Amino acid sequence: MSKDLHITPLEYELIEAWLDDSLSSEQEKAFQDMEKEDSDWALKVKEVKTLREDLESLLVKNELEKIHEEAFEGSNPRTASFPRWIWAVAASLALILVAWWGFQGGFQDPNQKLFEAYYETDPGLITAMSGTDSYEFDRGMVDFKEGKYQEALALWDPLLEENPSGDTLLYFVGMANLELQNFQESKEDLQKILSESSSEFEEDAKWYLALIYLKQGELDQAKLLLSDLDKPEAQKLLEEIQKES
Amino acid sequence: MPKDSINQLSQEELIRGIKENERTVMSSLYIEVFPKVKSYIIQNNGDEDQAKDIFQEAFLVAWQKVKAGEFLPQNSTAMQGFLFQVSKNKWLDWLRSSRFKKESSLGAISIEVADAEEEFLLDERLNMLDRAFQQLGESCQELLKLFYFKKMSLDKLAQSFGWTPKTAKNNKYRCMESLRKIINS
Repeated sequence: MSKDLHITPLEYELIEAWLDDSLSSEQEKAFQDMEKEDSDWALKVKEVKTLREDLESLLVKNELEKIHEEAFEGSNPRTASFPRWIWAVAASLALILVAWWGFQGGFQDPNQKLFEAYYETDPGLITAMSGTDSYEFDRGMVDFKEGKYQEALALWDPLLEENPSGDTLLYFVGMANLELQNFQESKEDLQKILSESSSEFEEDAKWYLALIYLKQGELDQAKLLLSDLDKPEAQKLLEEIQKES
Repeated sequence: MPKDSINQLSQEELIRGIKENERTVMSSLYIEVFPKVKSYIIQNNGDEDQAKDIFQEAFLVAWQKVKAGEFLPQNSTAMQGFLFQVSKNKWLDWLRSSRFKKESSLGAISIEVADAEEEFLLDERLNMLDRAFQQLGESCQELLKLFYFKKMSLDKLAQSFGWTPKTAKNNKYRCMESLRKIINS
């Protein structure tokens, strides 16, 4: 899966129907048209085919592991064969690792430390699961609040394609990206909000954007944004950055 | 399914069971053949952990060959024999590659299994996919498992999640896209 291909729901359906040998005559025509018109079509078909097959293989493999455990592993767990000295060595290594970790902590990048001290996940919005237009957004919000950021993005990305300037959506896509440490994407989402004339998310977008700049060591931009914010935390963080630099 | 009732299945039922990943067919076959593979590998310089790894790899290969129509077992005995043979060949390949490079007298019976390099790539891909799959939320994992492994239809899937068929289709697409994005990121 080398190329970042965009496959639409309709294309996906078409490819799967072709793989399952269940194309309707209309779909067959559409499939042939895609073959002629879309230079990436063969790649898309290959990508969906490989993903489907590999996913099934993976799930079969996981099931085999379960079958083995249930039928054969009860009396002979793999770990039972380790001699005691291995556990002693493992314990010593673990202690060294913990000590090293602590040592590293003392020398952690000050910007990173400040970022961690001030960063808090956005709590998200209250959702009322309904059958309205915002259903998909709400479902994504439920995922977001459960910490399933990748899932939330899967629901929100198509909505954003339809409505690229919706500030609520942009803000939460930015927050999900931030949680997933996709800093560049998050930065772009938040910058888009700030480029609009006014948004109720402006203050929050500035705050999180400042934190990203801080994390990435772009202190001038971080300070600029923080000095533009009224919230006390922003002023406190600004002072701390100034102390460090 | 009792241990030996897989032997009662007709060829058609057996192949359908394999194509639809039926747990009972899978587990009967596993329980029937693994002990034989294990004793073969242990008698031939291997241990139980190696037997398990080789057998599971062979199982996957054999399973895929049946699904792709490249091997058509007449009955359960033929399927068991095929699985044993693929396992044996894999073990012999392993012995030749790592410990008995000069020795060629073990004489593998020639049944074509997937090319070694191709299998290595598959293994790599499956490891990557596994990590990506674990990053999906529970509902996506469940949905994809029901559809691609348990072969549940979209209508039934929609029913069990309380969705409309259209929502089920959309959500399946999103989960697959999400998986693809994690892999490609």
